[in-house]
Amino acid sequence: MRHVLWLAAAVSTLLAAGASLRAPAWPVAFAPAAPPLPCIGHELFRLDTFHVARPRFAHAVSAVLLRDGRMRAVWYEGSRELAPDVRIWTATFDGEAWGTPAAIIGAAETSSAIGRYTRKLGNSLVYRGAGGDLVLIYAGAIGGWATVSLNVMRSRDEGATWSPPRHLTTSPIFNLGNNVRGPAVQTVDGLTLLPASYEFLRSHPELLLLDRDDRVIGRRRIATEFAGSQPFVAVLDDRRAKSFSRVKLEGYTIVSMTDDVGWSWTRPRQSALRNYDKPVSVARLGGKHLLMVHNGAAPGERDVDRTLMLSVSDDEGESWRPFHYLEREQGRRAHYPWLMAGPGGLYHLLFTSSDSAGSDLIHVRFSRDWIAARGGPACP
Amino acid sequence: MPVNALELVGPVLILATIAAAVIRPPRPVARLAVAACAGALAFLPVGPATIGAFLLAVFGPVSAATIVLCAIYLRTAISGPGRAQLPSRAFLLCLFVTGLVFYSLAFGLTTFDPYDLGYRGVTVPALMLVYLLIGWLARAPDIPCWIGLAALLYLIDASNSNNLWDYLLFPLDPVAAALMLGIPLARRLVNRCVDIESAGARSRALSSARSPCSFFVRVAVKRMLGRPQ
Repeated sequence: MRHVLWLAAAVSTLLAAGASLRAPAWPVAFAPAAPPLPCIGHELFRLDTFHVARPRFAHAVSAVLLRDGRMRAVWYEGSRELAPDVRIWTATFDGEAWGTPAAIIGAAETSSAIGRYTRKLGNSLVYRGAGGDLVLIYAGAIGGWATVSLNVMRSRDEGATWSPPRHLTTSPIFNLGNNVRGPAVQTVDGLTLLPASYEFLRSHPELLLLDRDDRVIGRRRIATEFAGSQPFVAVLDDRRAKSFSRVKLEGYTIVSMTDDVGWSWTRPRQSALRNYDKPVSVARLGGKHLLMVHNGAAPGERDVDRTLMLSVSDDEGESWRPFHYLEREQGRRAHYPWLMAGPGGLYHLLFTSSDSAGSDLIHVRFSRDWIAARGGPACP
Repeated sequence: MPVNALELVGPVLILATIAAAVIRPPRPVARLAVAACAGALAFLPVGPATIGAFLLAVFGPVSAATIVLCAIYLRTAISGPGRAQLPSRAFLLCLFVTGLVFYSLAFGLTTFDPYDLGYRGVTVPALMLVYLLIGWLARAPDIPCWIGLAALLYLIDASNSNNLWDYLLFPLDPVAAALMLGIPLARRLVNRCVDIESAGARSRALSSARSPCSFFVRVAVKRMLGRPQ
């Protein structure tokens, strides 16, 4: 009988070894990036409030381009950050106007679907998976931000309806602490690299590797120094990328570089770019030019937390020069930018404008010509 | 995706184990009933979720090691002290040492992430074979139970995880192993104190700085563990 036990254990271990050996390897290249936006022949810059949530709190907006050319934004909204009534919301932009926002899911529905108690919801992130479906990753928590874990939903109809959520296993310590913010990055083999923060006790930025079924099949740390979080991974070519992570209160981001598709990262260093304890967002402008939106300080400004600014880099993010400061309303904070190329051949910037009375979501559209006219790289 | 029923094994076993440790009726049938009722509490709705859902939210799914530890404890607690069978020292040492190294690194102190090794490759399966070898040499039958069950749970995707570590270890396993290794040591310490007393050396034991247990330590250990048998 005992020999049977040993034999069964050895056989099942060998079978597990076989399954482990067949698991997908780390990707060999990033998916080709979309070509940078061309100029449209005239300068355009327009700022609108696309969702007035006050006195409620709407935050952490992300967006994806739909097949019909519209844009779908997703965010979380409730009476305050990490309130039990927070739900994940969505709305579409057709190039002219925003549709009526609709709630996707709340904490109670999440609890009953995944079989684990979820008290609050947090950051959400929407992207298009390799199979063409929309994928929504969102954080659920039982307490503070250190207790978040991730859930995933899918939509086959461009976000009109969503599958029930599924819980993602991302961490060995009670599966707590992983949160998302920066956009997902696709690879040539149909896998997804998901920039994430690990925020349980001690934070650091990392990359989660998801397969086509949105299952976690790999994890790499980007940096463990500086207690960074909310990394933005800017892809430079098929194997190289640069990560910009938020650090607390220091007035800079930390930068790491990979040349093997995120498998290994250089030791992080402080960027010359000013940024105050908020995530940044980056878009490619073509060549070695990058555009970044970050929380900096305009000349003479003292309240450094409250200004979103646009900077360009001509050397793949080694050095930056600011060229525009978004005007702000008195006493309101502009933060959590989401920058993407979207409808109308324009860059679309979505962010939160908040104060103690709640928050609104802001939508800024600008053309490539507008960037060139303000000292950015010339039109391609 | 529907709720994974296999994940509820953890909360059921943990509740049953806690109940078996706290409530000890004299008859084995009564002890079995207590453990079964406590395990069934996992399905009891409390407010917006069941007790099992609360436990899963806080701790996540347990590992094969937790299942084996709970099963051994439950068997011992239900069948009574006359048929006591504790986890082998080899099993507990494997859990403690692996947990100490793994979780220290998993917290993010260095860029090396041992958790990533569990997604692919031969490193973790090779480690499992090493554990089997240790179990064979130490004649510890709980080690093949642990490793075989972990491999099986991984193959059937019991916890919605593609990572072998999730099936091998759970953060409380090394803590439980440390306690189970430490309690016999503490008992031996108390025994030694009792021996000193019975040899008529009580005053020396209480006052000597060279004595391994001071009066206060001895009283505390005795209160924690009861009088050694």
